[in-house]
Amino acid sequence: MTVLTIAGASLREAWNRRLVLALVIVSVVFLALYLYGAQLLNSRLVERAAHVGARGGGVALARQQMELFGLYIVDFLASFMAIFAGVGAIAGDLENHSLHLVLAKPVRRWQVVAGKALGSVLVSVVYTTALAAGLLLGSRLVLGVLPPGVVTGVLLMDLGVLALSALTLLASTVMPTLTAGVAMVMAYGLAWTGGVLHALGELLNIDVLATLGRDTRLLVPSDALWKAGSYFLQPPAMRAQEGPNPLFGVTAPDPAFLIYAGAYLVAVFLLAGLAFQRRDL
Amino acid sequence: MTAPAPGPVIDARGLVKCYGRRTAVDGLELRVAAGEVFGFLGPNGAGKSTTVRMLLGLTRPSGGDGEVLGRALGDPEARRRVGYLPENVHFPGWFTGMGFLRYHGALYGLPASEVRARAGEALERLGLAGRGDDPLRGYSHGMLQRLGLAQALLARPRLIFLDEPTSALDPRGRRDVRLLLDELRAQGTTVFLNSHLLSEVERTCDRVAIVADGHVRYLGPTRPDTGAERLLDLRLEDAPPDAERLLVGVARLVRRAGVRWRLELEGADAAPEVARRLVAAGARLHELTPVRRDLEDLFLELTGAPAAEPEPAEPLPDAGEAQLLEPGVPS
Repeated sequence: MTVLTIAGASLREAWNRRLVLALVIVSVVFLALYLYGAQLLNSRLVERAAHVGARGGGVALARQQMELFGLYIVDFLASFMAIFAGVGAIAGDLENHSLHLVLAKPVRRWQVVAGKALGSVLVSVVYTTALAAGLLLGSRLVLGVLPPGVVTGVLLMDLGVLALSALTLLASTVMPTLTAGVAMVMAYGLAWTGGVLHALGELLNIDVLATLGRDTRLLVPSDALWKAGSYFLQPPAMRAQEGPNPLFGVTAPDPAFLIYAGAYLVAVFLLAGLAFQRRDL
Repeated sequence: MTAPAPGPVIDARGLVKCYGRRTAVDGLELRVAAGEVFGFLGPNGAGKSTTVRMLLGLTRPSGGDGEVLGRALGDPEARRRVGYLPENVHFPGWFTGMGFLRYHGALYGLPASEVRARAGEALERLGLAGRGDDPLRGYSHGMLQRLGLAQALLARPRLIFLDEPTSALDPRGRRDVRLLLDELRAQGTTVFLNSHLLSEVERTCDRVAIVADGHVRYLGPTRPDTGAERLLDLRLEDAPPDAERLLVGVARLVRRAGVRWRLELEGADAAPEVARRLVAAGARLHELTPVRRDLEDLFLELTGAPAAEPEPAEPLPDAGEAQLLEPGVPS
């Protein structure tokens, strides 16, 4: 019950601090821009295809690529939302002493971490799913495309954003707010760089680079999970035409890695609880 | 519910807290009885907040142990009947007053209906009736402090820790808090009060501890000068060279600056004998003033802060149950 009370307060805080309003506004602006651009590009593609007498397959592929790029931006926005919404969850409340009021009551520390984690999971999953759904629906209306594997793809996107949420919560239990924010942006950058290195290593047949890039996913699996999700969000024809790609996954995700990612999520949340349990306030 | 604690409400036994090589609290011994209003004083950085946090289980002691309400430090069950208002706490502006109290009441594990009733009572008691539905961003500093006190009272605590509870209040607010503390004392609630307003402490507390550099330097009655008139200020001319020897048995010289002398009497009624001996020896006695040493004097002496008079301070005479403690000497 205490966990739900704390999670409820976190959600009310997100609502009342206008985080939700800011997210809605930014998301609507993003979707409007994306769809407007997609519509312009689509009409230009159709015109050109007609002009050169191209077959419809190339236009369809271009539309699907445009949609996948839109989903990449969704993942990017959701990742940064998870970082910046969660970075003060514990650290901020400690800095302004409001958590001292909470912990001077018969509340256990793991309950605080669990409540904050629950609030953070809900915000991350709802936001990522809603924004992805908005983009997919808009693309369906404007471009007339809907990728296969939507459910699996979006679930894996959610998992990637949750990995960042969990790491952010851990950072927030052991670092001041600003430091945790900087550390998390760097962690996101590390994961992204690992993904690029992996693709370059495969493209240029440099095993060391490919392995180094791939193994960064063990530290921060967000980028690898996006790539796993993006694999399911592409039709097979599109994947077949692509070589190693720094932004999208072109090979089926390794089931062992997906199990690792699930365990990683649980372990990081537990570690956050443990770290907070041992911390002097 | 926590069973009534038979022993002291707070029992700290040699508490130590080190941060790296710095020792914030060094062997703190403290016992506070049920129903006491206890003042915990000290300069900034003396270890007061660290001590309170150890007692509340927010900070783990590096050494020693203790109990609060009969339970080991850090036991969440002890906190079921503990109220706490830290200094400089942030009140989220989006909460309403009632919403804030309901949230904290729920954290005590109280049923919703009970929380509503108690929150209403607490708002009324702290003069915030009618403002419970207003967002906290519209509250003044003083109102927020009152609300903080209201949340500290929600659990009908047996022990309440208050850190500078009147710092943002106007004189009327301070008087209200004083009355509230009297009321809590009458109800048998123990109050652990941390304040720099020594006049407030003198008026409200039964006993005080003065800490400096992590040590308890004084533990005793709030008015340490039950023998206050044992100090005597003189303005004396033509004092004989052997004046100090003349006074043996009735007073001793604490300090002398020109014609101004401060004596410590060896008996509460020794002042006339001092005057008689000095005058008989040919001294001209212009003034003889009994000096009352108040809490501020004691605080300044013990904490090394510059006092009104720069002469080195001497230990206080025994006063009731007062104990004047040297660093490292357990109380």
